[in-house]
Amino acid sequence: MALNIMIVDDSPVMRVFLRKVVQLTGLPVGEFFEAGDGEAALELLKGNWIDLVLTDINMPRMNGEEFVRELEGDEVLRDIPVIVVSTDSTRERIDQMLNLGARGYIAKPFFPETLRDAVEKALGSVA
Amino acid sequence: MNAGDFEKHFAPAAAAVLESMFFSETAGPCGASHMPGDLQARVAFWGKVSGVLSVRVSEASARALAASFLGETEESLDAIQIGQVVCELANMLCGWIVSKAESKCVWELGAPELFSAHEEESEGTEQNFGIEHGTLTLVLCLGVIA
Repeated sequence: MALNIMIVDDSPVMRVFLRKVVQLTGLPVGEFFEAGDGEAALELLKGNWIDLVLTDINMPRMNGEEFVRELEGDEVLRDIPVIVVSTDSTRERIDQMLNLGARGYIAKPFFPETLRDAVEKALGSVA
Repeated sequence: MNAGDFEKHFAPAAAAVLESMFFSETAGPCGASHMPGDLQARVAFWGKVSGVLSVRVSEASARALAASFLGETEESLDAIQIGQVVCELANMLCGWIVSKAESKCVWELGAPELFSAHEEESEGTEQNFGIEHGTLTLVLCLGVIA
């Protein structure tokens, strides 16, 4: 089954990078959706079927923490697996985001296989 | 906590970020090299200790790094994309260094921004690393927020 993946990051080049890394992993991808912040991502989620979300934390308007809180507060959207991709690799931040409801956390920098493993784990946890 | 607690993470940060995200590497520490056209980006951070990390790379190095990062040819990239990649490089280096130096506390990063070579740089702790086509320079200023 092809996956529809949403990438949420305020850096356009980071969105391109993540898209290419996902393609490199060999995961079956249907369509990519992109948003520059949590608010824009929520708008896209209302009108599209998304199987997985990759999100940054540090973003304008609505950051990744607020975005994950919004998803968790929505009865429909809370089932979509979210993986956080951030430069913050402190234990406290990782635990905070996982406790909020994120299914995975990838600290930048990372190798492509790290992303693939996190995606497979997050999708496996849904089943 | 002082500049040395951050500075000791410069070299491993440069190696880790360049290897995994830019498919490149450093040739180790080298002397300072300032060239006209160098690109500079800075990121502010707030935590137990606050400050600004600046990154400087030559135009040729920045173009090569951007091509690797985006999986494109150097000729196909425009100045905006190259600048955004330098900002992302600064973001990852700063995040990596602060995560190690301030691993026991919560901290925040500001948005990375390009700045002009004509803008006055604060005095700070500086290290230079040889990279493809030039030099990568990291400058840390503690207690200064851009």
